[in-house]
Amino acid sequence: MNVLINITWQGQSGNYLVNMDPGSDDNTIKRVCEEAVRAGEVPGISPGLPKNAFANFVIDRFHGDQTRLVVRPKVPFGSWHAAV
Amino acid sequence: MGSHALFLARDLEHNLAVIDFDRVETKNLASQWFVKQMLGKNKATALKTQLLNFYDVKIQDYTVKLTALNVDALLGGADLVVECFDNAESRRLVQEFVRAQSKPCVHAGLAANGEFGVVRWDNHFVIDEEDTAGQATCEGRGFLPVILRVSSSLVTSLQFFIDDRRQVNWNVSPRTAESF
Repeated sequence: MNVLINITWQGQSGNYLVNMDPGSDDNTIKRVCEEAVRAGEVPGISPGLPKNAFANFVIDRFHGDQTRLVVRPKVPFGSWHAAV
Repeated sequence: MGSHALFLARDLEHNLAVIDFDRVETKNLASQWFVKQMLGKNKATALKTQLLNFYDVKIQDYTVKLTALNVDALLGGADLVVECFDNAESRRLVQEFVRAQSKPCVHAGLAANGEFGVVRWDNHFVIDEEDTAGQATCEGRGFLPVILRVSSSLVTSLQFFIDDRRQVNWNVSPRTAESF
């Protein structure tokens, strides 16, 4: 199944379309992404990537007509809270 | 981020309320929407004052810390909850409440170094723990463009939701903002 993976690395962001099991575990997805970036297959992200670059990253999973995965750094911060 | 979101949301045709127990510090002036005359004031009250003085917009300010004891009183009457906390514990409190109440909620978050931000409706929101307690955040200079980009994406999602209940998520980096 085609899976669209959005990858962010040091402020660069790119999409990678790959045929894989959308239920793959996080480590497998991270390995696939790391190899894709290194191979220059992710437009928008320069291929110079250290080993285990995504080790501390989070994977968001969106299952719709097409599965979308987001491989991203942690985003623990906002500032405060509002209610509308 | 929340202060800028409120600044951008000021013309929404809804009543706005803000909850914050914290006070405006000098370091906040670099990255949050506060003017220096507000130094030392409660942040929620400062935002209420700024919106009233600059734009004649009236909002409700709650100057308390959100806790399990007051979450129902503070959020129970809201039609939509917007969550921009800076710690996982408070985010969990909001998430547990809105899920129990089936209340629409949208979250926004930012990486510590400003390299990435998200806007997520609650059913897709994953709470990220800080790497260390009290970890430094984007409070220095140079982060405003990405903070404003995430804030603007957040308010755009509010507009979509108010218009037709669409729940649009965003990935935001310094170079791009993608909705889906």
